[in-house]
Order: sequence, then C-alpha cells, then structure tokens
Amino acid sequence: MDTEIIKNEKDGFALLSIIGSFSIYEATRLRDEFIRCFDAHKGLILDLGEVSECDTAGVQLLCSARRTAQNEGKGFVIEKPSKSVINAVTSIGLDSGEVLEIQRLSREALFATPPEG
Amino acid sequence: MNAELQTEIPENSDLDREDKMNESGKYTDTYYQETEERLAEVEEAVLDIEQNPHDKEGVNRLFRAMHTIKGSGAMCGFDDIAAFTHHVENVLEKVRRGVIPVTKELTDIILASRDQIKIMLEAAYGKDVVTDAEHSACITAALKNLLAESWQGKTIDPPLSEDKEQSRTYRIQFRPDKGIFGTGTDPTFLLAELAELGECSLDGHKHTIPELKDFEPEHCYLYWNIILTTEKNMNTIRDVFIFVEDNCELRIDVIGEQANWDIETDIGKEHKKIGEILVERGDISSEELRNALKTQKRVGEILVENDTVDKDTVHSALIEQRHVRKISKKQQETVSIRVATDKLDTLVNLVGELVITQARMSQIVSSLDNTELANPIEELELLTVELRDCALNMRMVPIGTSFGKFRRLVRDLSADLDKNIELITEGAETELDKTIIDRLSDPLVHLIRNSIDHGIHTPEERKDMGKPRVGKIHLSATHRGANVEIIVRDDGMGIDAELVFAQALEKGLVSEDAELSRAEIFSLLFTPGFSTAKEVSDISGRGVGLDVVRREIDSLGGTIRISSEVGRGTAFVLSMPLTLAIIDGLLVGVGPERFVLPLSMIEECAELTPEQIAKTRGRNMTPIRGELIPFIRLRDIFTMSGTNPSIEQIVIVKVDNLRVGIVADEIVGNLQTVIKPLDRLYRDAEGISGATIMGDGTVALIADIPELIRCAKD
Repeated sequence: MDTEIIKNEKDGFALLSIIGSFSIYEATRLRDEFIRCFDAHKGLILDLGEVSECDTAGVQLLCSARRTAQNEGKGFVIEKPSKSVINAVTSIGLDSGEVLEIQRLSREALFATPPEG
Repeated sequence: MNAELQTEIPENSDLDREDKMNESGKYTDTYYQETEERLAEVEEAVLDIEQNPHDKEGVNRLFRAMHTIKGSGAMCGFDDIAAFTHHVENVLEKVRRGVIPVTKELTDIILASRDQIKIMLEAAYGKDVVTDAEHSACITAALKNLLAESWQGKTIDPPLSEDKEQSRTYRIQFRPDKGIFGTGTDPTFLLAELAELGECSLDGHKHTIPELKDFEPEHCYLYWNIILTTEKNMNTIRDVFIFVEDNCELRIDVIGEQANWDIETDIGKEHKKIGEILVERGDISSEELRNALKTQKRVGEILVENDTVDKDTVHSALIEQRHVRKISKKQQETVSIRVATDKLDTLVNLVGELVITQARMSQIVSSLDNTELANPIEELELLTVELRDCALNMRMVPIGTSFGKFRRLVRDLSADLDKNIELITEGAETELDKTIIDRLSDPLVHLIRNSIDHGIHTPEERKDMGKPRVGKIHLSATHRGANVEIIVRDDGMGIDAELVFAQALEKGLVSEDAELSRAEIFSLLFTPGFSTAKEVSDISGRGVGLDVVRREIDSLGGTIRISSEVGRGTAFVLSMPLTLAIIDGLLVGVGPERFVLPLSMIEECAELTPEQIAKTRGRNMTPIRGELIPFIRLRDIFTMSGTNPSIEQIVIVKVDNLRVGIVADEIVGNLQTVIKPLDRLYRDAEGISGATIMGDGTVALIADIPELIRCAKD
C-alpha cells in the first residue's frame, strides 16, 4: 500500500497529512517534502492521525524535523499522532511527550502568536 | 553445603527438649500454619515435576519446602515430624543431584509422605486423628529402598540441580552501527525482546540526530542505555543481540545483585542530611531549609553547566537511579507479616462501624449548612472510603491458593477410576475474600468430582468416541464487574437435557406440559433429591450433591448455572461476589421500614398500577414485557401492617432463570452498604440475610431473595 501525502496550507503553515506507513521506505520522500515545507512556510503541521505503521527510522525523522524547526525558528506541530506512532516512540525508550509534544491547544497557540521570521 | 544440611538430625538432651516444649506452645500455632502452607507447596511441586520431570526449579522448591518442615519441626519440638521428614529430604537431595530419577514411583512416595506429615502435624496439634505408625514405617522403608537402589548405581542421570539464577541488574549500552537498518533489523524488536527478560528501563539517546538537510533516512542515529533486572544470565542477554553483534557496539555490565539491596543495608545507608539535623536541633526552621534548598543546584545541573557532560547523559543516569530504586522498593513490598484472621475481621467490622458513623455525620452536616464543618467531613468521607477499601483488600487472597488441592484431587481420583484426566487452571491470581474462597472449596470439590466421575470417560471409551484419550477439566477464575466468575468445564459426555426432563417428570418435579428452556431444565439438577446417575458410586452421584452445592453458593450471595452439550462437555458457571462484607443494593421502602435488595439479582423496576392489580384477580401475577411474572409483596410476606399505596413499585429479580417481582411501596435508591449480621435471636428469621445501618441511624434489613421465593412457594 502506497503512503499518501496530502499537502495543504493554512495561515502560512504547511499542513501535511500522512496516510499509511511512516517508515524507512518513505523516509527519503518525506524528508525532502519536510525540507520544502520548512523552506517555503512559517512552519509545518503534521497530521499523523492516519499513520498505520511507524518504525525507528520514522521516529528519527520526526526528531530531525523538530531539531530543524528549533534551529531555524520555525513552527512544528504534530497533530493527532496515531497509536502506532506513539507506540513506535515509546518502544524505543523515548519520551512521547517530548518527541511528539502532545499538547492540546498547541495549534491554536501557534496561530495566536506566529513565530518571528 | 546442602548435603551437610540435610544429613544432620538434631539431637536434644531430655532437659533441652523439656525447655523447648515449654516454650514451644507459642510456636506451635505458627509451625502448624507454616507447615500447612509448606505442605501445599510440596503438593504443588510434586504435581509440577510429575508433569515435567526436568523441572529443576520444581525439585528445588520441593526440597526447600521439606527442608523447612524438618528444620522448624526440630526447632519447635516436633521431633517425630523432623525425623520422618529427614528420610524424605535424603531422597530429594539425591533427586536434586540427578541420582534418583523422577518417576511415578517417586512422586507417589513423596505424596504419601506429605499426607503422612499432614496427619502427624494434625495429631500433634491436638486434632482428632491417629497416626498410623505402621504406615509411617512402610513409607520410610520405601524411601530407604529408593536410596539403596540409587547407591547401587542403578540410575545415573545428568545432574538436575542447579540453583536458580539470582536476580541481577545489568547496564546494557547498545549503539548500533549507522547501517543497521540496511541489514533489515529494526532495534525495536531487540529492545522488546530484552524487555521480556525482566524489569527493563529503556533510555533512547536522540541528540545525535541531525537537522533535515544533513539527515540520512537510512542511518541509525539513535543509541540506547538499558537497565535490566532479570534472573537470566549474561549469555541469555547477549543472545538477544546475536544477529547484530557485528553491527553494533555492545557493553553489558552487572551493576547490582539482589542481595545488595536488602532493606537493612538500604536503611543503613540513609544517614540524616545536615539540613534535617539543623531543623531537628531547632537551629533553623524547615521553611528556612526549604528556601536554602531552592537555591541549591543538583549535581546534574552543575555538570551540564560546566559542560562536563550533556543533558542526555544526566538523564540516562537518572533513569538508572530510578530503575534501581523501583526494584529495591519492589523487593521491600514483598515483605509480609502473618495476621490472625480474627484480628482482620475485627478491623473490617470496626471500619464498617466507622463507615456508618461517618455517613450519619455527613447527613447531619448537610442539614446544618455549615461550610466550616463541611470541608473536613468531606475529607473524612474520602479517607473512610479509602480505609474501607484498604481493610477489605487485606482479606482478599488469590484463588490460586486453593487450586493446588484440586490438582491433587484430579490426579488421585482419575487414577482410582482408571481415567486419564488433566486439570488446567487459569486465573489463579484472581482475588476473592478469604471466607468465600474457604467456603467455595467444598462446592468446587464436588463439581470437579462430578466431572471426573460422570463427565469424563475412560481413555478407551473416549478414543471410541473420537476424542483425545486424555480428558481435560478447565478450572478458571476471572473478574466480571463486581463479581468473580469461576468456571469448571470438562470435555466429557455432556448432559442430555431430554433425559433430565424425563427424570424430572418421573420424580414429579415438573408437569408434562411444562415448557422449559434448556437452562431451566439444567437448573432442575439442583433440585434436592435429583440424580441422573444410573448407579450410585462412592465418589458422587448420591443425588444429594448439587442441591447442597447450590445452597452453599446461594448463601454466599453467588449464583450457579450449567451449560452443556451432549458429546461436547459440561460447564458449571459460578458467579461470586468479591466480598461478603459489602453489598451493592437497592433500597426500597414498605411503610416506615426499609429493605435492601441485592443489586446483582435485579433486572428492572416497574410500577404496579391499580389497573394491573385489578387484572390479577388475586393471583399475584402480572404481565411485564409480555411475560407473566409472579410477585411477592414484602408487606404480605413479612406480615406488616399498613395499606398498600395506590401505585406500588415492582422490582423484577432473576433467580435461577426464574423472574419474580418483589413489590414494595417505594424505591428509595441505590446504596453500597456494610453488611451487619443479625443478632442471634433473629438469625433464623426466614428471608432476611442481614442488616445494615443507614445514615440516619435506622436499620434496613437485607432481603434474602432466593429464600423469600422459597417461602412464598411453600
């Protein structure tokens, strides 16, 4: 099953919905897409609600994206991480709260005060 | 070392012994209880090794239990038990070393010895049993015989015994090569495998993951520090990494052994901190100490600021610390003390009184409108609830403690009857009130006997029927809401509903035109005097069994039902309350009186209107949802004064698939309440199983619904 990436834009942010697998097989394609999003937008919102499968390579990609956003002063929000994403993070001993930054109002908060630059 | 231990028989001078006997009175109780438990362990272990003769741990457990029985027997003055057990221990020591093999002969002798020790124990404790010296000598001779055979070198097996590995804590540093994904390995699987070995704390390090522009999706950047506490040895841990060994850096160190974390040593380490001493001596206030501590930095923070280590490394060390603490705390938790049941009962009773008093106080305060008082009362309420749960919890024991005895029962009985039957137990950890477990024992023995005797055929007969030669009895316990469901299921011949009906007809228990569902037909089996067994055996089938089982289950507030299919098997399903001390009930009123109906039996509530009553024509039957339901008026059955209100309330209860209405004046509401027994004078009152005291101090009676129905039938 091919992974589907749906791209939208909202208030200057790129909104990517990933449907299907989020693993080493898609990692290169996803990395390139993330880079494009960060380059052209104020930040990236990832909707992972429909991710059916996630592996260690997928989690690393999320960590890398978070690091990029921090270094470049961009926004990065993971929305509705699916169970398989959360499991993938916790099963390799990472803190899901930290990696996924699960906060309820994060998106609204982000829109209220868009980051500079 | 063990060889030394087991050959010494304590010899006491007469004087010495007298001293011990005088002193031993207080130890006798403890020894009796302890030995009973050890004997249960012996039984369990023998059955385990019988099933799996290579079960080293089982043999060790068996040896340790016998060794304890002997040792503490000698210490407490039970010299005959010690001397007898000594012979058993000698044999077991040879079994441990693999000199004597595990055979049916051996397990039979050990079980016979166990039974003999039990009899000796009971005789010594003043119970009405006689020790048969001849039998005892027979067993001793058989044991000696086994030893003699082993000396002739008849059987030499590879050594069995090797003490179980002690639990150790390891630090595992695992750093896979960047290209590990390329070999098709995801570290997740390795980590999951490690977690299966024991208590595992994982710490993934992600600080080497670069930004997206430098990120190679196929590289593995993560590495791990893992703290694992396990009984497995270093090699087993290494085996997990066997396929990636060449593709990773791996370092495994032992960081702690179980013995290092004894409570004493831990307590010994806890020196008072300087701040605590200063506060104790009154030199500073605790407020001042807190303020000073706030400005103090943690070692980790200081080191990070100095750039000595990074944040990740400190975090990893913290995880290690937390893991070790958790493990040592767990080991402390397993410490337990023995408390007499009556002390526990007193506690539960007192807590019951407290709950009632507290409810009364809450009620009074709510009418006073005093907020100052309301807050502490609310807190008191929470504390009382917690205390009540805690007290009740102390009485809860895992049902598995009684499972061992059933295994023995199945083993011995099936051997007597030339049947081959295996008992499979499930849910041994399910907890129930101790009283319920004790009182369930006889009914369960009966049901299991029933299955062995009537349910399961001999291996040859089973083979002819196309079934496996070995029959199976499943005994399982699971939580179902506020109840525990216990199922005894066999894969035997099943019960023929038509045959049951025919017999019931013959005995005049049902009329020919009665239309009964299968469940209703099966419940006829619980009628006193009913037996379908064609011949009476000495095991079961005297026709006095199942009704006694049902009565006992009823009296415990439980229910029992049968499901069965001819040729497939039979299941007895028991649903028991978790505790006898508390009841979930529906409070109903008749005039000024209050009654509690057990919620577990209630199906629904409805109104009984004058129109409906007019239609009953004095027959006490009314249609509810298309079914004609007989009803009992509490006012009538307890011959209470007063007149029925124009609209009455009918509570539909279900007992043995029979729906009956209980009619009251009003329904007050749900209530979780502490059951108080009735005074001796009223204990025989029919239809009442107990009482409870309400918040306002009045007493509500708890209705015994099955009994009420029986009374009404008569």
